[in-house]
Amino acid sequence: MLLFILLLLVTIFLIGITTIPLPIPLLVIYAVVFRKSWIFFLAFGLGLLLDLFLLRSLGQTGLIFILLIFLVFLYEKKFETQTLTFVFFSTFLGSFIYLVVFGYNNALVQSFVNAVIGILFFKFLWLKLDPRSETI
Amino acid sequence: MKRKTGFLPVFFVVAFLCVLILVLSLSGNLKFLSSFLEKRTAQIQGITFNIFRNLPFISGEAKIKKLQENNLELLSRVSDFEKLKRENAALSDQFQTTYPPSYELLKAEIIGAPGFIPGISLPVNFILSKGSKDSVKVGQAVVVKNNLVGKISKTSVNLSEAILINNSSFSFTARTENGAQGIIKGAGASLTFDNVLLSENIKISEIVLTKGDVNQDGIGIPADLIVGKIKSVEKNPSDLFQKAEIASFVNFVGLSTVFIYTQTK
Repeated sequence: MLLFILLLLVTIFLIGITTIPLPIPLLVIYAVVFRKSWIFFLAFGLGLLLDLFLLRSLGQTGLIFILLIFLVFLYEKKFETQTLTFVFFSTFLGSFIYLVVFGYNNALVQSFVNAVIGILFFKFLWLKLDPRSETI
Repeated sequence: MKRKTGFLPVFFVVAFLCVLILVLSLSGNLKFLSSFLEKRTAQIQGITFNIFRNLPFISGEAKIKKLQENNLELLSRVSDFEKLKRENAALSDQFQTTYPPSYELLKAEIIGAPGFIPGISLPVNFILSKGSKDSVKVGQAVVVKNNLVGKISKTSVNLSEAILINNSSFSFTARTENGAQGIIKGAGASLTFDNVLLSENIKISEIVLTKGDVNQDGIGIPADLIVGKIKSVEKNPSDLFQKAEIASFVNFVGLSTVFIYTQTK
């Protein structure tokens, strides 16, 4: 839990600086690792924070985040989600859609960077939670 | 790990909450709440951005910074000189002076730089610490010592967003010291000076200034602000226009404070 809070704080600390949507890898990882409904509330909160930081109308980023989490939860019935491949592609696609919707430049590069950050976060968190796992 | 079940009700509740807040926010009914929350989050944003900006690999050497500041100071004098020259010309030609409008400059701290990834991309937008309660309006010019940095693209009660001149969605009219006119467009690391008539003579190292684009309320980009220096010229006799690449004198990464032209007197 301490690790969870630490990652959350790092994300909050960093989202005001850059447009790389860091909450996306964080939310995807929490969704695939914890698989709990409270992640929707976390997505809502982080979205609200990002809206405040970037002067957007409140609620729009949260809406995109919760749709992303919804899709991750839907796909966990069809795929093995606790894998690096899933985390990479879901983070990449989620970030790309987010960046295109909000009209940012370098969407591909930023999505790729975000997906790599996602893998690192996931590996870090997964090793701490389940070091014997061979899924990844 | 347990398999997740029954997430749909929570999803619908949170989605409804998001849509409700979005509708209220778009209709302007959440101004008080967003203003209250913005004050708190702006502090966090300001602190994190300052820590980040002062990291050694981001901020660069102090000596280079000092030289850049001196350079901006000297260029401001060039711009002032241009303004004086124009005033003089107006006086001698018409025996009357049309005084250039004067402005109030509002100091604003940069508290965020969306779109900025160190080593990969330059900042193309800044989040500033002043908002509509400080008379900041969309379209106002943002400067650093007579150098154009960008213009205000969005405002809220406490904060505002400035779109920088290197942003690809920003364009404005400009002229060289010799009077060749054209349109400046942002192109990431540099700027493009386009739509310049082939008959005009533009040279490398020539300074490019704003032509002035202010509306009847005094909002817009004033004339004679420095845009940058011509780096290269692309002139093809078969084309309608010639274009040039411009380098801005402003180091966007190292900026911490900017000034907003808030009012025409």
